[in-house]
Amino acid sequence: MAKATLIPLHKQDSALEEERRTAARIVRGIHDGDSAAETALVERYSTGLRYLLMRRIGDEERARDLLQDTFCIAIAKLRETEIENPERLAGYLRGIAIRVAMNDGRRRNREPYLMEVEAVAQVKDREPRQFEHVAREQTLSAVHKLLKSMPVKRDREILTRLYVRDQDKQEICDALGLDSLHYNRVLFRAKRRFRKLMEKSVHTADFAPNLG
Amino acid sequence: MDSNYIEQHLLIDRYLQGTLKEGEKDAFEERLVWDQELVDELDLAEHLREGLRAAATAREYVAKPRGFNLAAMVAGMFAVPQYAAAASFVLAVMLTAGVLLNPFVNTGGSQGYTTAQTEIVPLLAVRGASISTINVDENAWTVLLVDVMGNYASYRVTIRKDDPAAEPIWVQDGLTPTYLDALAISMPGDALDAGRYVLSLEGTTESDPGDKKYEQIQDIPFETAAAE
Repeated sequence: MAKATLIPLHKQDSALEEERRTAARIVRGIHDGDSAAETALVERYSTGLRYLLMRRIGDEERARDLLQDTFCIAIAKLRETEIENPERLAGYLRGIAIRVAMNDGRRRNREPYLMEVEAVAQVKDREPRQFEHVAREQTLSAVHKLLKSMPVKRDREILTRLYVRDQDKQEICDALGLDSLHYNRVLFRAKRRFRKLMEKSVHTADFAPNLG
Repeated sequence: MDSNYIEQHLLIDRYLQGTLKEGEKDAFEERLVWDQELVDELDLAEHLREGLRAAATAREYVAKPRGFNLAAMVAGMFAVPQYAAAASFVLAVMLTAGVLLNPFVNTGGSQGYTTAQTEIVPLLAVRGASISTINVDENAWTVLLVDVMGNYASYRVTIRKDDPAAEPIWVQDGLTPTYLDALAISMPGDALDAGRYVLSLEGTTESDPGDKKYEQIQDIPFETAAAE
């Protein structure tokens, strides 16, 4: 008799599993007084928390200050108390960051937390992102090339409706007579192509538009 | 929240649109805190979004052309007496003035520029003229040069299908004349399906962006057809 084998429909999210293990280890380490765990916390979560704070307050310098406050508060709490779900440390940090950002909005003058946390010194002034240095003209150029590489007008229309007119998927599929699969496929391919074009822009060091 | 869910439910784009449900948003942001790849994907989608929006309005494409003297070309056309005289009246005459190598499109070649084409179409106002037709290449950019009148601090242009109930397909305020008192409006060709349109030109004397009241200057009808 043949053996039945279950084939998972989705690929396993190994990154999520890894995150849960790492988070639990960091939480335990900080609680046990391990300063390396505090450094690991700052290094692992700086980029994401900074991005979130930037989206909320839109000011890079303030985002960095609030990021430091977030880590100060988190480390102080993790040293003293045990959190309920250590493997969901990211959610815990996000909650602190949101509260810090909200409180900052209420305070007229920000006073820095006076707590000494050595690991917080690891917070960089700026967190370079992959496409940060891509000039606007290069982004426009990549968009133009992307559109040119899409021969079907309806596919280009998907991008315009989604990103320019902010329409949702159902609305776009209804308007263009598309099925969900086709919509997802066009978007996926367009983004993959755009990434390649942008990566090329990052490496094109000699392109320096002089618009003056 | 795992990566399959994010991919299948298009959470990145919905996050940028601000349309995630509260629970989804919490879970998405929780993942964002630790997942560097997700931050990169968001960053990329933001660039794509900004780029497409800029391309849609695309005023940048005609801001300061390099290596091509648009001003001289337009000046040459405006020097023709009947066109110069026509500029102060109302209605439309259109000329297909030529093809411009789009100067801001980079290919990484020796000059860094590609052969993307842009049709330059002066949209002059002439009383009594019949409506002319612009041949639009859906794969190229079309630049409408709108002659402006009056002494306004800035202008607003609205383009809609020639139907009172039609939604605008292009609106931009805070426009200032570029070359020879003309507003340059650049649009992707595929935004101008074949049909009749009306371009409404308004002006404001207010320079404070928060206190602008626009006055109607003129409506310019025009017609488009697909380029052969």
